Amino acid sequence: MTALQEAIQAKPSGGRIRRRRRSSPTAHRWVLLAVVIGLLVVWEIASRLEWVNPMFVSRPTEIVAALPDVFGDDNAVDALETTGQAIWWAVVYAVVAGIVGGYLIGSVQLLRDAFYGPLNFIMGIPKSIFIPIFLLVFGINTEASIYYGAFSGFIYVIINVVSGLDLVEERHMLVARAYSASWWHRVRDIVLPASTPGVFAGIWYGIKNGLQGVLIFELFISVGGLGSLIKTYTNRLEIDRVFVVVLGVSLVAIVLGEIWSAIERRLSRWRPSATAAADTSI
Amino acid sequence: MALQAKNLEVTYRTAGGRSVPALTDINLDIADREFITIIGPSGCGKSTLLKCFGGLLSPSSGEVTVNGEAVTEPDPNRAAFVFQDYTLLPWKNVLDNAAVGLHFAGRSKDECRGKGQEMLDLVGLSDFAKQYPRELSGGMQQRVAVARAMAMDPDILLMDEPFGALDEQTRQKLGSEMGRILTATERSVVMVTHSLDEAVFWADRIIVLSARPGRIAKEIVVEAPRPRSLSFIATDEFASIRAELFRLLEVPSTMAGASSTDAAVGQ
Repeated sequence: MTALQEAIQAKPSGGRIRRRRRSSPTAHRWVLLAVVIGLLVVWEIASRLEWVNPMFVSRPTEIVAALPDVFGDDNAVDALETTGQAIWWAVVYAVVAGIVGGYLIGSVQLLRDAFYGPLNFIMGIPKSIFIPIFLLVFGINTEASIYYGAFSGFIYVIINVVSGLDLVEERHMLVARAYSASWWHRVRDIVLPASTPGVFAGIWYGIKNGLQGVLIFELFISVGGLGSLIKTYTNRLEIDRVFVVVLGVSLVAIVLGEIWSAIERRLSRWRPSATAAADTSI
Repeated sequence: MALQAKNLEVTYRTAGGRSVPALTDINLDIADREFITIIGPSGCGKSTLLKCFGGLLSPSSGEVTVNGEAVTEPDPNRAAFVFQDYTLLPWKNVLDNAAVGLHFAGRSKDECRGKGQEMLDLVGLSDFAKQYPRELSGGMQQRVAVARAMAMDPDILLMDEPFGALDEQTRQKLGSEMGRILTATERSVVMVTHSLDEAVFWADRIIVLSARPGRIAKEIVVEAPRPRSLSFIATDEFASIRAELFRLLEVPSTMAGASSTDAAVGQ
């Protein structure tokens, strides 16, 4: 805190600049809930009064009413199963290959020199431009969406794991040497724990981008799954059903993020602050 | 004799291929239970010397022996380090940090815990065993680092500016407490320091190094018995040795055989 900020904070509340009061977590939740309900009400009114075209933007009450239709639709249940499995395998491949690859590239200088630049480059460009290549190699099928999802997540996992390895501090390695730690102890007791912030961030980005990759592939190429279902509903102008699927997927992503945050908090109790934690916002 | 250094010389090679002497002509005998402090101008090779004593660095020529055995690589049972920075492993709790050397040596969990707890009792931190280093103050963390070294039951304790990162008040408080602990454990201790007060307060013998290349410019014996209370700082002996150190470090040209360049105060 700067001296100026301190001076401002120290000013009595009767002064011109008043101390900023922090709201309690419960109050914060109520405000959040009120904002969400408010937005839903505005949305409903805007649709009913036809400020927006109800044909293209459904309204909350219709979306709720469409819930039983979607869950009663066999195609939708199949699509959910297909996409769920595809995301699971895409994330597993991305995380496993990314962690192994990340530790290899991060610890062998030659590999780092050779691959880190190209990987960073790929991370910076839209992954969807590679979709045609995946189509050519794997054909139009669910496997292609799995491999594309895995590829989308893998890049983020590997880059974050390499960054995690850069967090290993020289002073801790010196302690390991001074106390005659074996190679295995150096890896298990120094390198692995020190690099966990990068690994955690990598796993989260692997989940997030693996999920995105599978859905984007399904949207682009009709291989079944929720992406294709969104396209089918859109073509039939069943916008309420589109919203059910889109909001459902968003909800799953948010819940996954929260679960992962909780796991990470539990495993990172030793860290000085939460600032280095993976950003699990969607 | 706990440690002996014979004709020790360390030369660094720069990126351009030039040889830069860091330490030269170091001959030193350290007795059992003797407390040695090493002081000298910045960059004179104090830490380099300590690394040679502990086997973290091989000298270019000469040799170091501990109890007659040549030192060629680190062995924490022979000489255990306490470093300047907070070098505790932040992901291990205080007890596991205190016992990390034993863990590296492949001792059983029970033995690690037992010895770790014993050492935490010694440094007065047994109530903090389950806490993580981030929950401890700087002074407490350094006490754990001392416990970690003592757990190895070493012949010699090598301390590289162990209190350098602490504020003056904490240093003084920790200083008298550590003095009691280290005297009670009857180890030989070699401590590198930048502080004139620390150098005098702790030592049986002070080794003053000259500016680079470091060589032993003077050895000063401190007669007062250890452990010393803080009142030792107010004695004439303390004041006169401190003044002598100040003079030696302020004007390197007065040191025996020292170069006259780079007058730097080691404070």
